[in-house]
Amino acid sequence: MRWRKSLGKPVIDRSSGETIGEVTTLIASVESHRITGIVVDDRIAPWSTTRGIGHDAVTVPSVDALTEPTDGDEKRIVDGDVDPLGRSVYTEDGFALGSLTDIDFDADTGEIGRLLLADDDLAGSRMLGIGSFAVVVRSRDRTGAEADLSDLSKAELYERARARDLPGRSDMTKQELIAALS
Amino acid sequence: MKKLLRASTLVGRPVVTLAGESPLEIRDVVFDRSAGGLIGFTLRKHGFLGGPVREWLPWSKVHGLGPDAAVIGTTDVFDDEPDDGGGGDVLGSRVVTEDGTHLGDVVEVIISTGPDAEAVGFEIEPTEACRAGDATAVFLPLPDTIAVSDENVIVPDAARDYIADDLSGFGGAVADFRSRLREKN
Repeated sequence: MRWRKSLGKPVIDRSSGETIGEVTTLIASVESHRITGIVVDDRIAPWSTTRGIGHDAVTVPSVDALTEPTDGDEKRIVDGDVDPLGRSVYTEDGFALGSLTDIDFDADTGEIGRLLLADDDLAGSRMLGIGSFAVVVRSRDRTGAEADLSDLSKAELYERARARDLPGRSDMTKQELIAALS
Repeated sequence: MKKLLRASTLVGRPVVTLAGESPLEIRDVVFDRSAGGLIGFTLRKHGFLGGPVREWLPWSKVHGLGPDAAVIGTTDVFDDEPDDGGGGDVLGSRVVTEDGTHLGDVVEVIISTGPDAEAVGFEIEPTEACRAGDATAVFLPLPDTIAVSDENVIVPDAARDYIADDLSGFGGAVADFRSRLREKN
């Protein structure tokens, strides 16, 4: 499921069958790298009360399952101050990777898969922060262990290929870069 | 991804917290007169008309520095700007070897990026003595510590052998120069 595609879906009360609103935004946790809540106008449906994002709608057990924002962070999300889409993505080492166009996640579990950029993508598990200015992601070069290459964006892979002076790198696809760097 | 860049290109780059907020941007890069290293950044509000602010970002509190941003943990790391500045402008200083040769004048400080970013060299406008061909600017690697006075930066004689005429090959020159200095000690 895509973040952008989730927006505007109707939210339906399973007990009464009534439509109680529509999805205005989502709440993503940078600790668990999951979608943890669905914002319905100015209230929140915790992900666990829903059946995830359905094909045509989101259903909640009853309108009472919706909660008010409980802290400042949730309040800012509900107010639309920290929408990640359109934000610049920076690594913690100060490299700009591009503008976030969409987020791909599992429609059932809410687990975030990839962060999508204009012509590139990277692992959602790298997210460190979503703020009003930027989305900040972990820099794989910092971890002592060898980075999982599939976590990286194509631009990051290309930079590594350039550092190792791999021949033919400028014509390689993302998969070819991963193979050549492995 | 270790990359070298000219310190002046950081002016105007955002200071970004790990949570993705950016209250301020870099106004200027400040160097330590006594050791030649970076000591911190003065800051300003975002935008063309962004005014200077009292907040100061000490170099030791930078989480990661890259060509596009300085990343910090939280805004708690901002401090008041030191009164004496502790430093000054190293730009314009004369670079002189220990054997007394004037190599040129500093036009830029070159810094490495990443979690352990540091000043690694100077871009200098070379004197006739040091000019290679008709290059109007060359890159001179710095040892880990150097002596700096109000007018002069003193570098080991060997620095001369590692002067590069473009930034792309300069990273290797810095590493080679520093390992040669370590071998001697």
